[in-house]
Amino acid sequence: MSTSKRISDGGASTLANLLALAVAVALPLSLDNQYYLQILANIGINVILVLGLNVITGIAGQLSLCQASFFGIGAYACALLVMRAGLSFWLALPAVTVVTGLVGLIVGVPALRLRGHYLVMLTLGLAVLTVQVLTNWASLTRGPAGLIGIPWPAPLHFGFFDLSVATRGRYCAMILLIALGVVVATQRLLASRLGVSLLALREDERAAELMGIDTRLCKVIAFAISAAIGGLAGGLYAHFAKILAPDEFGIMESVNILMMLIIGGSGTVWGPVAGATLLTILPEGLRVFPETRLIVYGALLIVVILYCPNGLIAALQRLRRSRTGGMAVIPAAPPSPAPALRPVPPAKDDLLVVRGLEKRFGGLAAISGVDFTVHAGEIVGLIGPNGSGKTTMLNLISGALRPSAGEIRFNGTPISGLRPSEISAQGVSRTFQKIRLFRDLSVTDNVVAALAPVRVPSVAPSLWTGRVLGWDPNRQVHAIRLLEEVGLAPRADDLSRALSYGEQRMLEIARALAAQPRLLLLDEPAAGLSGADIRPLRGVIRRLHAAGIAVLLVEHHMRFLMSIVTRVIVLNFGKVIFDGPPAEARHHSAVVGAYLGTRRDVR
Amino acid sequence: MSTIFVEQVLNGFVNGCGYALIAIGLTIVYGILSVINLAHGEIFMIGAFVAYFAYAATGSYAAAVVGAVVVTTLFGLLIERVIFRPLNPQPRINSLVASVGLSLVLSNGALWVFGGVPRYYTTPLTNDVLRIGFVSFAAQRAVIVAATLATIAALALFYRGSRLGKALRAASQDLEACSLVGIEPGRLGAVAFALGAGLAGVAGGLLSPLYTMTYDMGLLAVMKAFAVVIVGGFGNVTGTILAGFLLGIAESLGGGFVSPAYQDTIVFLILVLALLIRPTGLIREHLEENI
Amino acid sequence: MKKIATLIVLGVVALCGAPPSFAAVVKIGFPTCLSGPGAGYGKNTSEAVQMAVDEVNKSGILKGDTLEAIITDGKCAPREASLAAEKLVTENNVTVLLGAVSSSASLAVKAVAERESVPMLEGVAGTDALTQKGNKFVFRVVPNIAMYTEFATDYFCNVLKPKRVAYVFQDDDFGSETVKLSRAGLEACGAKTVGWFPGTPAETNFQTVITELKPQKPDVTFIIRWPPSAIAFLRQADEAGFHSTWFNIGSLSGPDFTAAAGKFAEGFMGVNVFEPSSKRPEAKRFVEDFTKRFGHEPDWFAAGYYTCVKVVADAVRRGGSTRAGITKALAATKDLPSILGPISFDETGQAPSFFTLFKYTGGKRVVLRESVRVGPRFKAVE
Repeated sequence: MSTSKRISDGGASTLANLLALAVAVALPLSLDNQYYLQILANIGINVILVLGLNVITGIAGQLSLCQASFFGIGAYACALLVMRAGLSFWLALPAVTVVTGLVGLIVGVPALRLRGHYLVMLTLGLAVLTVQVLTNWASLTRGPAGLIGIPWPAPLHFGFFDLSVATRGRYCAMILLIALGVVVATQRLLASRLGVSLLALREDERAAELMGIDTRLCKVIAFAISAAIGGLAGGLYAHFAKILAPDEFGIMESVNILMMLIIGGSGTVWGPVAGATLLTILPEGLRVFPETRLIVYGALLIVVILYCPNGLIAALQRLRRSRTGGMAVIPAAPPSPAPALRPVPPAKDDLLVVRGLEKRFGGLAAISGVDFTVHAGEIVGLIGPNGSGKTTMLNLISGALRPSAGEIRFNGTPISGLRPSEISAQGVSRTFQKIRLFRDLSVTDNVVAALAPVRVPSVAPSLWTGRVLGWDPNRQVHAIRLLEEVGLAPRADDLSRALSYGEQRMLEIARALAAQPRLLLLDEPAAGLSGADIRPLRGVIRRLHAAGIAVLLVEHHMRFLMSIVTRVIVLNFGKVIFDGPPAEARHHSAVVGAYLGTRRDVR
Repeated sequence: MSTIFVEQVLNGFVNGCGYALIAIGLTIVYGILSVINLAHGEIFMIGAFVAYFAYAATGSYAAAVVGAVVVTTLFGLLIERVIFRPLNPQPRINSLVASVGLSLVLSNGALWVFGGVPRYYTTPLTNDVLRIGFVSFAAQRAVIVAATLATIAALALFYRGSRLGKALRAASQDLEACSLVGIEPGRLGAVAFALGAGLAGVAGGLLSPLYTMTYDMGLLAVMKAFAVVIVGGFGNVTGTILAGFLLGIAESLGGGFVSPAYQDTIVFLILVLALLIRPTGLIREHLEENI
Repeated sequence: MKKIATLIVLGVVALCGAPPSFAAVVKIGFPTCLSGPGAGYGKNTSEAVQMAVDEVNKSGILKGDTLEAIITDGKCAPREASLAAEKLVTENNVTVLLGAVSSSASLAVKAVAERESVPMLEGVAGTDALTQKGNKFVFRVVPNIAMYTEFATDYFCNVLKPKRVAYVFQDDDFGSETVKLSRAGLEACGAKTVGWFPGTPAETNFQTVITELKPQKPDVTFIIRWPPSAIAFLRQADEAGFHSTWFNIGSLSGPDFTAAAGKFAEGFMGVNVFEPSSKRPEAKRFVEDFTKRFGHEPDWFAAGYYTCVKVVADAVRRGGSTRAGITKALAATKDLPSILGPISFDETGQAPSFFTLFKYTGGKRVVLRESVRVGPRFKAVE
């Protein structure tokens, strides 16, 4: 969901966090009723589990059905490390968190080869494998009879005082504190560079890739984080429950965790907390129907999802909003005097060189032998009748498609065959023929996602400094400046899908500029725009030109195109039929023939 | 050794027919509505129970299967109208949640109404054992294979030949676009669910005499069906059928030759390998598209 | 006028009435499986417990005290069972707990029982961790798995003497443990293991297994599976022309099996703790009453928990209605007659076991031998 409330969220949720902290410590310690205490502990464990799933499924948008497997791995591993290897609980718990995260990493890697849905397959496979190993490796796990006799953790010595969690009340307090820690970590994640990249990945994986985000890397990282958090929950659970059985960590339990996530509010911070709390308490409350408990539960699930499509948290927010009459107004960052478009670093004059490029789709040759060059700082128009291969050309340059033959060089480096995020890192950015914004993100976040995308060359050094997870206020300011550039600063906090069509097109350009491109590919930016919107568009492109950014512009709106380009390339049936000044193109026989047909066609 | 191998492959093939029959319904609904209906297994169970009661009441197995199909088809129409159509504008994952809720209601409802005592019945076909060479099997299995092949043929004819079938194929490619050419998406959704549920009913009616019937038989069925659908390619009917056979044979060979303890794991390994080699499923889809 | 009459009546009652006795309600909490994979069996157990409670209350042996059954869902899983047991103890204030059917779930209930000092009776779960040295609160009326397999192994090694043995079993606590011990016992007396086939409890498709097993020609095949799976196996084996001496320990009793297995059960042998066709009058009466009330015959799960309630009633009669009193009285139970046989608890809380070895001959169950465990050795009762 929208992270536009992030800045103000900071204030509101600190209060919520402190309240939660107070509750987390006070409640379990003061509770005498062992039944309620047990429920509370279960709520804490479930909150951690669901927050874990939230990272891969809620934020990154990839369905995972093996969260319970990580839960089980963490539980057994922690218990076994303490009981068999004699490790202290205080060491074992972080150890299993890391180890389970590594398991997630290993399972996630083959998923790199698989498209979207198929991560689900791998998660199912892990779910099955985990239960089978836990059941059959009886010498280690005691198999189906269950692992029993898991002890309380030994006290932690701090000089002259000991921290002991060897009572149910204290252990429960520890669970809740750790759960709160995970809540805070989720808040940090959503605000971080990784978080925004994951959200963009969820919204539109291909567009995110083309905006420079290494989506494969992001998926793997998100999956590993989910796994680690699941393992953490497992280790905590093992020493509270003191008994583990393999079939509690199967697919059914994973589905249960998923239910909690969706019902509570997927992708938010407090949604998982709400969902875990409600769906832990509800089955207990339904014990008044001993035989029909699950029938009622199932029916309630259906009813809730019919009426609260975005989960409970969203429903609550809608209620609150309607009462307070609209979102709180957040003052935009003050406009700065410095220009948003930094001067482009010097590049080769032959910025983009295309040689012998071909692209076949099955039997159809969309591009058959194209050569051209775009020079640094040029504005080149790419035109041609429908089906001539213009969009295909842009897709080939940006990496959305791979050429069948030929090569493309950018700034001297061959880029054909590179992943789109790598090409974006080289300095090529683009907009789309059919608008592909990150619809559920705010206007600002659309730009921020492209400002500091998570990808390999830039992640590694940042990890050391923690900048991947850090919140850098400069990004926000830079994003607003880019929005000013295209005139969208007043709409900074609105959801991008609330924008008008013309505004959305401008936002796409701002987003494309965030990557600091040397070459900007614009795919029919004027399509569907009225005169009032075209003027500012022309202004923006001229300013880009002044900043030294080269533009390759695909357009059908001839008057608009001819008024700003310095050169025109005409495609027909996948071949270049003209390459030269715009004035000549108008009268060139081949061009005219392509658009209007020749005398032979007319007869 | 080789006779065992052949037998196992045959076993796998027959089992695969069963899996394919169950999975086709799931993939059709997904293909058109992008809905993963995890209550599909419970529809299969309803088909099985209806067949059981109908057979006990009428003594005619054919009537029992027909009854199963009729009831499940109607049930499919019902749940589409009441649950899934209202969920259409919502994110797809919500339909999954609703289907889980529905699955809980149906399986626990069956437990409540029919009790936990498992039921079995036999038909003349199950008692009639054919022996061919070194293999012997109940005639019912031959019926299942024949029915699966007949279903595939009928579906193929339907999809290619009839207007409704072509509309369904169009819908599985782009449901929104359908409304632009005059095909009503709502009506198609109902047809998809009816078709999917009816096929589950066929599977239930045909498979139940061979296996025992319990209130939770749907859970096991839907998990297998889900795996088949993923490997076959979501929405891809041909791929799903092939994946059904692949799953059945992989199970037989994995469980028989390697280890029954890790049978499910081995099956998943084989499926994952298949996916790594052909990421979009067994039948190559058009991977690249302009954006 | 009315007031004076009331006063007189009250006075009379006060004079000749017995000293006020507070009739106690002894609540028995039962976190059985009402949902989840074991729910089919859970229903039987809750029916049996309810019937036992009603019988005890009607019989008046508790002289005014009554039993009350509070049945809730433990799902046969430790996490749920633990919560359910906790609720029973804390919210419902039960005096006695019953186990949760599956081993791991019952162990979770045991943890609650020990923490809250509540006596607990077990009627099904077979893991030996329930009644080990040092156990003070758990009392089990059925055998642990080791005892079952000892009886079976004794019969095999001394009477049947098979050369080739195969095992087809479900990979839950009962199945795995049973075959592990059986295999050890049988291999020790010279039987070769020619097949080892674990699988999920719900499995009903055994083509693969049968194809592998048939050429091995086992003399005896252990089928440690619940009735739906076992019947599917037998049918499919017959379909494939595969025959062996089928043997089961502990999980197949009741007419569901007999009726459904039909001719396929011919020659099938099994070991039971509760034999519905037993000559013992209490057992016969139990079967009749249960069938009349619930419309289907009881299985041994039902028999196990039924016996638990009867044992509790006896302990209340002797020790009063407090948790501590009942616990003490339970430990002192000696030769209490029950449908499973005379019940006494040893120092670990385990009752002796009474096994029945039966065989399907001519469509009927015929008891081959009954036995009672005396110390470590068996005493066969033919």
